[in-house]
Formats: sequence, structure tokens, C-alpha cells
Amino acid sequence: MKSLIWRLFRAELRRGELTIVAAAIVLAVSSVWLFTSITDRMEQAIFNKSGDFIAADRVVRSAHPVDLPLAEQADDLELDYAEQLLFPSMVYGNENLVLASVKAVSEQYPLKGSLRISSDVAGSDAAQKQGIAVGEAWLAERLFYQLKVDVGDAIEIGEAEFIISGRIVNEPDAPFSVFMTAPRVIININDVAKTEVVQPGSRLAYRYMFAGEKTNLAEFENWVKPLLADNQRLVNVSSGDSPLAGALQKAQQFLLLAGLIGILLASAAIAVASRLYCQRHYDTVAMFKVLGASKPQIRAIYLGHFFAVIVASIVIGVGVAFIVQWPVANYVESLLNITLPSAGASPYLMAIGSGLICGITFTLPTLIQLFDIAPMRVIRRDSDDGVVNPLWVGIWMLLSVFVLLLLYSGSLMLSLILLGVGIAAVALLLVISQLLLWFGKKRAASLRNLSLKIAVSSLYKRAKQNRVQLIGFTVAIKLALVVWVIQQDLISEWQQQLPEGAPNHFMYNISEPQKPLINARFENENVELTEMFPMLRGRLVSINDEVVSQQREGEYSEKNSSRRRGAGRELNLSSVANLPYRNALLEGEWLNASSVNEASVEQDFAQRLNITVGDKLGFMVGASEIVVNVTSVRSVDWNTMQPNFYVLLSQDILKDFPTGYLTSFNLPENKSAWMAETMASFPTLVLINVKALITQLSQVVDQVALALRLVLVVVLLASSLVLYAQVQSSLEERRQQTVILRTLGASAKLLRNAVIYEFVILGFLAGFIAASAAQTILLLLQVMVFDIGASINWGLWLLGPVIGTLLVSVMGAGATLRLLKQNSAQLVRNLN
Amino acid sequence: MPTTESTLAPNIIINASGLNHHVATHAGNLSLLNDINLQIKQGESLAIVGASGSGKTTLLSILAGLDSASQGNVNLCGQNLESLDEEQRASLRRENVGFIFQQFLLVPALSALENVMLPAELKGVANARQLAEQWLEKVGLAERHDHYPNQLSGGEQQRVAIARAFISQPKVLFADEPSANLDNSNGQIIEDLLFELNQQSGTTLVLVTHELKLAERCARQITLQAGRIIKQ
Repeated sequence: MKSLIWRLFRAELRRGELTIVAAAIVLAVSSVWLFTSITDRMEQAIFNKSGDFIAADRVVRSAHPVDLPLAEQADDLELDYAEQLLFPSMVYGNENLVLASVKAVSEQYPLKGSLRISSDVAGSDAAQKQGIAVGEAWLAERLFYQLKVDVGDAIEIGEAEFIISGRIVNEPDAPFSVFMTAPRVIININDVAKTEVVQPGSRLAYRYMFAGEKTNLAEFENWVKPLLADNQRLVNVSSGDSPLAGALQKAQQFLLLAGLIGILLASAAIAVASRLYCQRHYDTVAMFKVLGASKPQIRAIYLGHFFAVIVASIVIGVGVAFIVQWPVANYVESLLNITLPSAGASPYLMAIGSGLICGITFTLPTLIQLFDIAPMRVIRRDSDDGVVNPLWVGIWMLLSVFVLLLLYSGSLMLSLILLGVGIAAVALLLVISQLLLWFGKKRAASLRNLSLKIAVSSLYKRAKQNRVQLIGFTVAIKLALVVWVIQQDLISEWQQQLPEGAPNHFMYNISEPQKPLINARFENENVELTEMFPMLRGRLVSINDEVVSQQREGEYSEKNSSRRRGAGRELNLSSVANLPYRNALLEGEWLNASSVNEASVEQDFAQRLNITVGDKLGFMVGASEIVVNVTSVRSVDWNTMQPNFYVLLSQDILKDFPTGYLTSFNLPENKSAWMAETMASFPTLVLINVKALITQLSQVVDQVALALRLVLVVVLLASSLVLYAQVQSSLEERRQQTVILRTLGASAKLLRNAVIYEFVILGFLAGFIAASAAQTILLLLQVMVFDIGASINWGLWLLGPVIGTLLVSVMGAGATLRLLKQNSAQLVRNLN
Repeated sequence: MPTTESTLAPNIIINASGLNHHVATHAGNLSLLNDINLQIKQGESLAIVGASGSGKTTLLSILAGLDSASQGNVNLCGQNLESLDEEQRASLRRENVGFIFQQFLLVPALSALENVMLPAELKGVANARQLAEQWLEKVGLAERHDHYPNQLSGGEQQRVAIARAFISQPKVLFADEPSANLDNSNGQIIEDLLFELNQQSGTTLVLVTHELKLAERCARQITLQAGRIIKQ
């Protein structure tokens, strides 16, 4: 028996009958391996690098000292550990007094990223540093201008004196909210006590920083999370609202989704190919049974074959991926200038597991049907009709897909969206295809073109098989479209956020009389300024005449506890004529030149403070109170490197107050000296350089975009494989018709055109329905997963039908036309 | 299988009694066989003749245990088919029955030799290859061992099918229009071969055909019309 199984297997291999099943499993295994090794490693590398943005892998943030043995725990888990204490303080130097943001750091700071300090104000010799010596201070560039001091001078913070030993060129964990933050001073944490500025009630921010191996970090997280109080937070680089966090989270979600889709497509290819294989073996199994083969013998033959194919394909898949990953990993490393961490054993386990699950789950139902083929089939072809039970096969497949989705994504929402829309698309497809075929049949009689007539009537005749085929085509095109659109959308969204020549400097504190001077100076030097935003500092004091609390997030005080929630800090108020870049009006009317005492409020801010259109807001600006009516709520894309405001006021209000202005510009490399001169000429101006931040951000975007493209290639391969498998499965059905028509003397041209028309109709239908389904999935994903605005993608509606028609007709006609090249005798012989 | 043992006379190898068979169609029940009673002796050759649609092939498939009758009993080689499940019937066929079909029905993935070996291998015969070689020689295809079905002519394919039918030395051989798909000269060769081998091995032959000339080569003929035996 063993030799029979082996002989049959060899014969199947020779005839290539198992090739598509094998190719699909190889693709599933190698793509899972690639996803989990390359993209996962890329993600890890990106995250490691992105750890630079918080100067650590994990940070515990708190307004009070954390009473936990954090340092000891870090030591036990072999994690690097550093501490920071941030507080605002007046800094005195050269008889000037400026409010600064003091960052007191331990010697190990920063654990990640680069802290670059130069020994002069120009920043010409910036060098990497770690920790700062006791008694020394490093200052942000603008403090040098504001205090009129130089390196080597002394400054005072509270009761302590410090010697300036450098200028901060790059601070890895600089805040992303660059506006109105006080300039930075870095000192040693052991110097804090002697400043005596840290008193009960001081505004303090404690940061405990950790870095190390992923598993140790995870263990640390598990330990610390339950122990943290409500006002203490554990953050990593993807927590929070930074543009980077947003980009990384979306990229992670995308990689997950695309990985899922790749696996789903490979599974679909396996299902289609194994169905085709089993259909081709119905007669053989019936013959085996006639000759007296028992069910266990038949099971041994076919399970043996599939087991061998699955195992061999897994081995080949891992081998292919292993070979492919070398050049890919090298390319990725050199292109992105990162070092990929070692892949470890998990990609192997994941790949082998996925290969086994996909291979077994998606071949078993068709195999079970094969085992049940009645021996009577050798005499009557339709005798297996009772065996096929599409309902349980359908339920089994849906369940398997759902389990796979859930296992791989861990997200019920994502799994439900993909499965739900999938089922809806299939239902829609059945209805539409039935209607069209019915309509086509009615019209077919009146068609003059004989090829078209044959095409339409053969579509109708094979309606049942065509529906299955349409589902395969549609699923393949739909999923590829989804991945393509999301990839395009995400990349272009990021690129829009960081366009070429985006502002890399912000300047504020520009007074009304300085405005024309600054404009002229910049115009002379050909440096373009963006809009000048008027700026007013105001404190929200009441909502609808009800006094609001002034306490900060996480703070508690008896006096404020019963009051309505407030902003918790001073706000920057501004006024602009037009809705700012990437802001969208959600409710109400936008402010216009004739608006009086009106305000537009940002969506999240409004939600947090429970503000709606029609509410009255009271602000204290200096000693005066202003009251404005909220007339609109707008969404703001905080990911753009553009000035943005929670509250925008109508233009009439700002006229009554002395306002400063804020602007931004892109400063070319060669204009640093000119900029230094400008700052010296206007010492009251405040300049913020975000060049380093933008460079880091665009690097991350490049890295992620590359990962997305890699994934797209795999998805397209998987999708083509499904199309190919589907076309192959229809060949058997077509062979018979071709034989009859050829025997009746139909010309090759007539048959060729009939085949092309048939596939064009199928491809167009599949493409069109795929576009509808992809659009639905995208709308749901945009709103429920990616949290970006819902938008109709018109390109999709064009691309779906065009790609569907082209791909399906080229592949279908290509395969079927081979039949037409054979002479009738060969065809008849192959039929037998 | 003690419960299925028959009490028939020892020389009766097939006994069909009170066979009725009908299938459900859109237009209602369609009767294919009506009150068929038939006994076939061991070593006898029987031709079932009749026009197309008379029920010949249906009767053959029920007698061979490929299908079950709606009513009635079939006893094949001492076993009551109605009391056997699919597996037991397969086992009965494996041990006692050979088939030859109009469409040849060779396994396309296997060579001529491997096709002939198949029943012996399923039966667990140790020297399957040797036997298959002998049988291929007997049907005149010793030189075409390694050819696949699509490399053989129709007549050659049917000769392979005959060798495959005889290799397991069946007690009963069922042949369904064995020469209908072949031209006259090839058809003649196949018929001669079939009868010659049948005589040599003493197998019971049940042959379905619409050709009277072929039917006359059998010891006994029955004629079916609309599912009834009209002549015996």
C-alpha cells in the first residue's frame, strides 16, 4: 500500500496537480516568516530607534515621587535605569530673569537617543553626552539670547549657582508641543536640593526611565502596571499623542491587517486549489472504490499526499523565506541605516504553525468530500451531487477564517469587519451575478455577435460554478485593493504632514511694531514666512457662567473638587481668517470677518470639557475677562508640524489686546549665521528649532513606508495565486464545451473570442463588486480602526473593474486558449 | 459477516429477487427497474441486452453492489448486498469482482502496468508487479508497460482495463458495453480477448450490451425493456 501511495504521489507531482496547493502553502509560510521576521524586526528596530524620542524604552511619569522600588526592580531585570525631575523655575543670569523649564537628570540620562551638547552657542562642535556634572548647566539656544550669557558664565536657579558648560543642540525627549514651552536648562539631579525651588505644591514632573530587552521590559510592565496610582502613567514611544506615536500605531495596525490579508489570500488559494485537485480526483476515487478500495485505503492515499505536500511546502516555504530575507534584510538595513535585531525562533514557529493550520483547515473539507464520492460515479457522473454539502463546508470555512483572523490579529473588531464585509460581499455577489446572468440570458437571444452569445449563455449555463469563481476573483481583488489603498493613504497622509520644505523653525513673541520689520528682513533673504498668527494667553475661567476648576490633570484639591472641569492651564488663543491647514469644521459656522465675540473649539477639547456649540466661555486675559459664544467645533490634525490651537477667537476680540505674533519658516542650511544675527537684532524674539525633530520623524516615515511596500508585494503575489488557482479550476469545465464546439467545427477565432468575452464579463463583475466591498471595508477601517476621516476613494472604483477585467481575462484566456491550440483528438483523449 | 451468509444452492453466484428501482425527478418518481428476478450460475456467461434507457446499466450496477435497489434483494457470492455497508461491499468487490467499462476508466496518473497492478495492490497481493506483467503480456501490451493512458489508443486502454479486471482472479466479471467506444476491428479484438480469458479462468461473466452479435457469444441472454425482463 505504501508503495502505491508513493507511486501515486510521484505521478501527481509529475502531472503538477498539487503544484498550486503547494505554491499557496509555500507563499503562506514564506510570507508569515517574512512578516514575522523582517517586518517584525523592522518594527522592533524602528521602535528601538523611536525609543530615542523618549530617551528610554519605558517611562513612568508622575507628579509626585513614586514610592516603589523602581531602581531595584530595574536592576533585578537587567534594565538600564535613569531618573529625571522637571520643574519650571526662573533662571537668573547677567542681570536678566527668564522663566525656564529645568530638567534635572541622573548620570545615566539619556538611556536612548542622542543628547548632543556643543561648547559654544553656535552649536558648531556638538558632541554626544550622557549625564551632566554637578554644578554645571546646559542651556537651550534661546536662553543664551534671552539671558545674554555665554558658555562659561554663571546662572542662578533658586539658591544654587551653576556654570554654563554647553548649549543643548539635541535633546532626545524634547516635548513635541513646541509652542510656548519655556526654554530648557539641564542640570544634575543631585543639584536639585540645593536650589531649594522644589517645595510642597511646586509643579513637578518625575520621570523614571527604563531601557533593555523586550522580554525584560514586558516583565517590568507586568510588575509595575498594577502598582501605579491613577495619576501615574507608564508610557512607551507609541503612547501619547505625538505625531510619531500616531504614525507608528497606524503602521502597526496596517502591518497587522496586511499580514492577515496575505494569509487569508494564501488560504483562499489553498482552498481553491485543493478543491480543484479533489474535483479532478472524483473519478479516480470512484474507480478505486469500484475496484474494492476501502475508505481507510483511500484516506491513506490522499491524506498521505496532502501531508507530504504540506510538510514539503512548509520546508520549502521556510527555505525560500530564509534565502529571500538575506538580501531584503541587507537592503533594509543599508537603506534605513538600522541594525535589525536577530529574528529568534518565533518566526519559524509562526510560519510552521500557519502552514499547518492553513494547509489542514482549508484542504480538509474538500478531502472529506472526496472520500465520500460514490462508486456509482463511474457509471453516472451526477451521482456525487448528494455528497457535496456546501452549507457545512461554508460554515467550516467561515469559522476557520474567523479563528485565523482572531488568532493573528487578536482584535475582535478587525476580525468582525473583515469577515462581516466578506460575507456581505458574497451575498451581494450572488444577487448581482444572478440578476446579471438572468438579464444576460434574456438578452443573449437577441445578440448578433455569436462569440458574445456563446459567452453569455455559457456563463448562464455554469452559473453555479461561476458564482464560486466570482467569489474567488472578488475576494482576491478586494483584499489587494484594500491593502493598496491603505498603503497609499497612510504614506500620502504622512507625506502631507511632512511636505518637502515644511517649516523647521518657529518664531514667536513678535510684537506689532516688529511685524513689518521681520517681514522685510525675511523677504530680503528670500526666506518665506507662513501666516503670522496673533497670540494671546488666556485662562478659561467659566463655561456658561459656571466657574470652572483650575486644577491640573491628576491634581487634587479640596477647593476645586466640586467645580466643573477646566482646561487646567493657560491657553494660547489666536484668530485666523481661514480654517487652518488640515482643520475640518464638524459643527456650526466658521468665524468670519463680521463675527463678534465668537469662538471655534477643537473637538477633543470640547469633548473633554463637555462644551457644545452655543455654550458661553469666559477667559481671563491679563486682568480683563472676555466672554465668547462657541459657534463651531472643528477637528485638528495635531500630526502636522503647523501651529494649531484649541480655541480660535473671532477677529474683533484680539483687536482690544496687545498681542504677540507667531510664525514659522523653513530655514535653509546656509542661513544659520544670518539667523543668529537676526536673533541678536531682535533679542525679545523666541526661536524654536524643530529641524532635528522633523528629520527623525521623516526617517521613521520612510522606514514604515518601506515596510508597507514589502507587505504589498506579498499581498499581490497571494492575490495573483488565488486568481490563477481559480482559473485553473474552471479549465476542466471548459474543456468539454471546447471539445463539442471544436468537433462541430467552430473556428478557433469564434471560440477564442467567446472565452475572452466570458472572462471579461467575469473580471469586470468581480472587479466592480470588489471595489464596492473594498470601499466598505475601507470606510469601516477608517472610522473604527485607523481613526482617520472617512473618505470615498474614486480611484478604487476605476482600478477595481479595470484590474479585474484585465487580470482575469488575461489569466483566464491565457490558460483556456491553450485548450484551443490542441486538436480535437487530443482534447477528447484528455477528457477520458 | 455471519448474518449475511446465504442459503442458496452452491452453484448460484448471483441471485436477484423482486428488484425494483426508481429515482425521484422533477416530474415525479421515474421507474428504472420493475420486478426483476434473476439467477446466475457460477461460470455462466450472461448478456443483458436492450435498447438505450431500458435499464441494463442500472441492473448491472445494482448486481455489482455499486448502487442499491429501491426494493428487493441481491445476493452476490453468498453475501446479501442489502445487509452490507459501503465498506463491506467494497471488500466484497475487492475479493470477488472485476469490472470493464465502456469508458475504460483507467487512472490517468498511473502507467499501464501500475493500472493493472492496482486491484492486486488494494488486495494486498505480494507479487502484484509480476502478475501485472504477466497479464499485460496476455493482452498483448508487454511492450507498453510504462505508457500512460493518454499515450495509448482506445483499444489499448481497454486491453489494459481487461488485464486489470482479471489480475485479481475475480469470481464474477461485470462488463458494461466493453466495445461500444471502439471501432469494429478493435472492438472485435477486445471481445475475443474478453471471452478467451473468461473461458481460461472460468469466471462468471455478466455483460451489458446493445449488440445482439456480442450478446449471442454468451451462454444466456436476457432482454430488458422499460426496466422489465421481457425475454429470458
